Amino acid sequence: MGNELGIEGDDLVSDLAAAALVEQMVRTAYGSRVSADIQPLQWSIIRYISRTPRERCTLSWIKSYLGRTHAPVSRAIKKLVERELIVPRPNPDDARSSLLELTETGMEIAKADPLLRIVDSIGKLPPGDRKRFRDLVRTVALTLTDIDGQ
Amino acid sequence: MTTVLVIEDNENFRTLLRAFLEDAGYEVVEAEALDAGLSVIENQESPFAAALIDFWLAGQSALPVLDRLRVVSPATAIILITGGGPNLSIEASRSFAEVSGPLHFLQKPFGRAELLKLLHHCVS
Repeated sequence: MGNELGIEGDDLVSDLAAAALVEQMVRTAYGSRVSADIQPLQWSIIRYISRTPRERCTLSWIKSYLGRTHAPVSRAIKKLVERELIVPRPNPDDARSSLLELTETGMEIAKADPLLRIVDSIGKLPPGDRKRFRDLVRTVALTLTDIDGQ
Repeated sequence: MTTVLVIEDNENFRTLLRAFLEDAGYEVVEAEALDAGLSVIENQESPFAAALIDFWLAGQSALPVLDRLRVVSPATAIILITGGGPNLSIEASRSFAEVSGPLHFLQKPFGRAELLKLLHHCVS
């Protein structure tokens, strides 16, 4: 089989289908009614705040953790504050920055994190398959990111 | 005495970590690179209570060390420390390290009190 993508051979066709399913999984997870109202970067910020000690929940720590520049993170935080999902509090250690906290609504929204839908599906795999899935995802992701020359 | 393994390629930071830990009463075994870390893990006489491991060791990820430590010494509490590296966010580094097993995480820079609080939580 040949086509414009240069995909030839049964294995490659199946690999392309697998890649499409990975994309579909993520789209489906982010496509739910609650998830779709919040951008992926905003979800990353909600996730960071929900699992990080309070004193490290500042714009500076968040942008460093996510590997993003100041402007998009600042905009995303502003949006989350406007939607009353997070609230800035005075930082006793640094008057120039605020500590960001999830509001009650933010905490509820965090429970609808789109990634949790995928987590739920992974959790339904038999234990051996679950570990194999994690190992395979890591291997494929390592190859994609090209760390350690994989 | 509680023994802690430190694998960190930055000599100054490694020395500082050793000072923090020894002052707090921990015994420290250190390694400065991936190969040295693997060697220490293979030759440990008794399991380390905890291991402080920098994700990036001279441009290589510490994943082989994490994988081996989880097999050889599953009871050792792992504390991953990172301040980011080439072409990979801290978030992604953490995911690569966490996908194969649980660990504690400390983003650089951090201070003595923060480190000891987490370490105490891990070993107690």
